[in-house]
Amino acid sequence: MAVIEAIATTYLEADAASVTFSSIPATYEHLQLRINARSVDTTQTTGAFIYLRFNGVSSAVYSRHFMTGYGTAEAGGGTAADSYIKPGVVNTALDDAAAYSGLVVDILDYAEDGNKNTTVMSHFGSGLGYNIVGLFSSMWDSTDDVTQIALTTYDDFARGSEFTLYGIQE
Amino acid sequence: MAAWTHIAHDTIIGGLPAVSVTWSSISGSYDHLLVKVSARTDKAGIYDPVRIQFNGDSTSGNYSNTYIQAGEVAASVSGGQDDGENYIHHFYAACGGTALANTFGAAEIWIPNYANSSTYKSVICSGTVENNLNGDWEWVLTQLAGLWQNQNAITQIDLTTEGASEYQAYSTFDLYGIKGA
Repeated sequence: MAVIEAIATTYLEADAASVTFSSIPATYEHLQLRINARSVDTTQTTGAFIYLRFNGVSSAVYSRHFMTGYGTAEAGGGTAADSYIKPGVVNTALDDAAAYSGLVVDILDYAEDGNKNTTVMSHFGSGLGYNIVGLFSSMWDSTDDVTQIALTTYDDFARGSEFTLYGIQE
Repeated sequence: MAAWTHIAHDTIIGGLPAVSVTWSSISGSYDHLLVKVSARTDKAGIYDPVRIQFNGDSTSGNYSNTYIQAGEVAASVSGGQDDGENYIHHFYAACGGTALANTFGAAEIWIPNYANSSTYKSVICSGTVENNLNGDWEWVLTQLAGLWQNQNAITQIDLTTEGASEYQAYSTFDLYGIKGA
């Protein structure tokens, strides 16, 4: 068996409000999402956040922190209790039509049921439009296995966005 | 041929906590190495830096690193540089004992072209210490570039806690070998 396997890929043939990976098997050590996406939003001048929830949980059990460089500035900070994770920022319809942002989202030990909260480390960036690069960390304050990942953004994901979920073996 | 090979998996389950994880006799048959870390220690604090050494070399002056980090809300992002060290440090990769229970740092280490015998060895590290708090140094993010000023192929990696604290149960450490085409 290969060490890294593509569990599922979603390529958007049309704009979509959300992308969901369900029935994720517990047979891997880690998960990784690779995303190339943009939003159809026309109001977010600093890029559109991606929102991520595990297992359909929408209560304020997520925390997240960030370190970003944007243009010639930088920023750090976070939120201790929120109803979703923000793994990164993507280009919007305010940017060039061909600009899609890249994200790599690592979800470590997602199947350590009863022993570990789910922690997420994500790298993302776009060299066009808002010009941002960043490292985010996030946590789901639950020791449940991750079996579902739901992704949304500000407004819809744009046609041509692509999302692949990989499983990485122990 | 598969691009990724899982070389080693260490976990602190059911055994005694450890101050160090060591992989030795690493084969030179890959192009790059990747380490994924999910770790927590018993250090009295929110975070615990992980020290990196290669081939058992603890010679002062053989390691250097440059980093950017965030952990203070008011100070935003800061950076720094360490030269003349005996290990790569400032790599905030593990939660300490007072971080939220069941919470582990998430980190990875890229080691490109580790097996050649003609260049110094570079590493690129990303480390995150997540927590359900938002004050200064109640969370830490680090992006770090490190250098081992030695031309030997890397055959051993040591990941040691700061100040002899101990990795705690359910910490995991995975070493992958990655090949090009």
